[in-house]
Amino acid sequence: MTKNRPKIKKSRLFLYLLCVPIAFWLVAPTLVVIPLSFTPQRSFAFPPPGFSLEWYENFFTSPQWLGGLLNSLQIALLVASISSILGTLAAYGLSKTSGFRKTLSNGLLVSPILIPAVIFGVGVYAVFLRTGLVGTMAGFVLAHTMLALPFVVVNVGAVLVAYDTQLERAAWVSGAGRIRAFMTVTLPVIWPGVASGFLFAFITSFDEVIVSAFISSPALQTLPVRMFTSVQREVDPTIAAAATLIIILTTAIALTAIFTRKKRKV
Amino acid sequence: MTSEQTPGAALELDGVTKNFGSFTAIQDVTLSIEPGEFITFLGPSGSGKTTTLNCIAGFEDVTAGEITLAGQSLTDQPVHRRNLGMVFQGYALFPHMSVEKNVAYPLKQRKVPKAQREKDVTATLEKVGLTEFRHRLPSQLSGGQRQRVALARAICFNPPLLLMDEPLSALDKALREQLQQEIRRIHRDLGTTVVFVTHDQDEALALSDRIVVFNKGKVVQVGTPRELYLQPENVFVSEFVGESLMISGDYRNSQFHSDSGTVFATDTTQELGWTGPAQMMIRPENISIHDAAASADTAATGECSVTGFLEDITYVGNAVKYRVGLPDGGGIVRAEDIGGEVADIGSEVTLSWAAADARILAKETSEEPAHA
Amino acid sequence: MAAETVAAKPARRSLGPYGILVVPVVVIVLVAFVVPTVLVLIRSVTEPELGLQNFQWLLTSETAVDVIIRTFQLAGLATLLTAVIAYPYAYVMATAGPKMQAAMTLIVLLPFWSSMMVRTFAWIIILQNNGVLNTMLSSLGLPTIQLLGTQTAVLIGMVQVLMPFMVLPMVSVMRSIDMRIPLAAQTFGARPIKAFFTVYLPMSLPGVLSGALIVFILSLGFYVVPALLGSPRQQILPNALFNQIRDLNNWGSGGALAVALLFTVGMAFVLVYLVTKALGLKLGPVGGSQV
Repeated sequence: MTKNRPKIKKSRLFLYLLCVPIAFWLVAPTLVVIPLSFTPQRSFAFPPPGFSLEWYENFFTSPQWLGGLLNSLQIALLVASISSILGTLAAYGLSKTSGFRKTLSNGLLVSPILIPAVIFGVGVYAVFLRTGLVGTMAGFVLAHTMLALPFVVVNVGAVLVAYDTQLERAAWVSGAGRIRAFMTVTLPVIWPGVASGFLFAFITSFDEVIVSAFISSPALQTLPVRMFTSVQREVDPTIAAAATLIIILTTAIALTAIFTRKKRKV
Repeated sequence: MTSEQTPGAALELDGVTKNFGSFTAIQDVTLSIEPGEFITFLGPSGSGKTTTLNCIAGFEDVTAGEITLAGQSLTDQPVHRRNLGMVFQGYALFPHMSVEKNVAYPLKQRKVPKAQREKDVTATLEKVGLTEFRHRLPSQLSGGQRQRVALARAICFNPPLLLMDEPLSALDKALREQLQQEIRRIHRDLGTTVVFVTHDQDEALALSDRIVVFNKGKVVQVGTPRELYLQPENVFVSEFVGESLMISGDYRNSQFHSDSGTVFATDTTQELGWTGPAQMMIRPENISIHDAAASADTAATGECSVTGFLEDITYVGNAVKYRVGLPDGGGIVRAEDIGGEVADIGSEVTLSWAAADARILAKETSEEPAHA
Repeated sequence: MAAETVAAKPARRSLGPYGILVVPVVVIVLVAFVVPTVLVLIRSVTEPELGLQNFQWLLTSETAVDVIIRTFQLAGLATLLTAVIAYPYAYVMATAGPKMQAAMTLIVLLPFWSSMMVRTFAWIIILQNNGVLNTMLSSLGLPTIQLLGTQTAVLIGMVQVLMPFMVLPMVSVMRSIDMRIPLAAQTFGARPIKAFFTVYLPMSLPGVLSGALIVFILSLGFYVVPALLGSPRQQILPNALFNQIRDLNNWGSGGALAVALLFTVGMAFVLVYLVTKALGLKLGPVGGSQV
């Protein structure tokens, strides 16, 4: 046993060393877009041969780029809000039911995660063509909500599993009706699950490309779709500026999430 | 403060039955509880005591029967309109609210004005001795303190009926006894009717005016602690409440015939009106125990006596508990500590008791629940 | 005890119409998700006319068959690669202290949280012919390599995002493995390597399988990464489907491709189910707690 000890440690060190390049490959590549966004040339050459804010200026003055960002933010906020409300209600209802009905509804609500989004994209495209929803805000919100709902149902459901239903009974006995007990006791207690569901829903919508590519029109485009067409058709470092802005935005959201969670625990 | 108090209300259960599918959780529970009375539901897990409490609280709809509080039917009232105080087994404190917000919650639901609310919360927290903890969160309190907050939340609006579901089961023994005293004191102060659920017989004996013993979904006996101890009506109650010595046999001709043929005189004042398989029960402190070999002549001090083997000896403070095995039964005998054992483990002992202290109980078949 | 547990379940149902909360959401998902998806599948047999001509095309056209086979290959390769890279990472994570574990979770989730478009664009910058990687290689005096537009590039980009879906289920199974068992095997004379392959690896297999299931299914649905890092001549199902519909307006053959894609996903489920059953394993949590 004692002889084996240093050997185990050596193999462990090897494993740690193996993890370093993996971690690097997971984290580092994305960061190359930041220096690139300051390039003074209309090229993706790396490292950039100088410094300029040209592409940021271009981003904020172009209706296509800035408009895409604003559309994306607006859609993502609406989607996150709607799916948080619907998903929380559904998860709460599901936590109180059992048996076949529960399995079926649960499977149905989670299916959008498992079925490749491209199939759904084709489907909504067909339906939206007929109903005139292609290239509309309502269409985007409806389609993205379908993709975001499962994340809320799963996140809130996970918190509800650990929720002590006695708390709700205590609220009822104290004189609160069903709805008020839910609003004043259940909802505040399961709030972390709702919040992370909201975050997942926001990111899902904000990041969505494939379904959005089907239903966008020149008049209404989201930022990821704008980036997608830009990469395919042209060499325009504005995309690097857009990517940098997205990195800043998502990092800010993640940090707030981590920070508020830590604060809550104390 | 006395002027603000609502006196406790009378609670009546009439033929309350609750089925879950084909399973009968409680069957035909009929009880009459006096205003201001401290009643304990005692029974093992699954005996129906908690289901009965849940029916009173309104968490379960009754399948049949009627529950009335102060003469008014509760059966069709939703939980939040029943105006009850309740303390839950796991405390069920709202984790996101401070102590004072927890206590104020029922007052807020009753739309008590803010100033009055503040006053009531302060008074209640004083009553349970938590004044300096009012701004803490439940997670920052000890188990005993949480229990007090739960109690404060249940009594702050002076409910006519207070329900307590095994409130002390999570606490250690010393704390439990201290809180038992406080619960008694608060009950005396408020004058509210209390229904207390427990599976702990000592707790039930210590707290209650009357005890309702549950077994297999039915009420098997209702009585004061003294009645249950001295006059159990069935084997279940005699075994569940207190310790005893049991002998198996038959009851006929006002005499008890043990399975091995010994005949014992019985208490003539206990009118049974039946004959058949029976158990004779004697409480441990009513039996005297002697070393059979040493004092065979002095053994028969009581009217009845029997010989058995000493199986075990336990010291409990000022007394000694002897576990004795008999040909047709056995059980516990309790004697003053005379500075040493009356006999060694494994030796023969003689037990004797007065016929008036023996109680004859009908034998229970395993299928049929207690003979009520 | 038994009675009270029995009591708790049906009581919930009697507590009122909570099911009603689920109904509107279920109806919305049925109308806005299930119906459009099913319509796509139906179109495979109704467009341009009623019949199986689209499936005939799917199974006889060389391009269509190539696309299906390539999709399978890519998903299989991606799953295998992810499993191989994720396993040592998950092992270190499962056996590390709580702080290290938290840091490693954060790192593995980072690609998942960062934008798909941003990440893919970054890979283009790195892998393109005069990109970061080749600049570094030539400055070291090494020959440059053509990566952008190849399956390798697609795999590099895909596996990065798929990592958490493999690592998290692996970790949750590995954490439940009692480390004394492999150690016990060693004390009985098994060498550490042998103890690992005969004891630890089989015990961690449920985590690998549930990770593999979700990773395989997810890799079948990738669109952006193959479209931007791969070659247009090496299309996979989702890209072919997009082109058929959006560029060629071919609803019938698009529907047939959708059926093929969905069928593959279904097959993946069945396959993993059969494997777990044959090996008598219990599946770990699919997708892990974060997904």
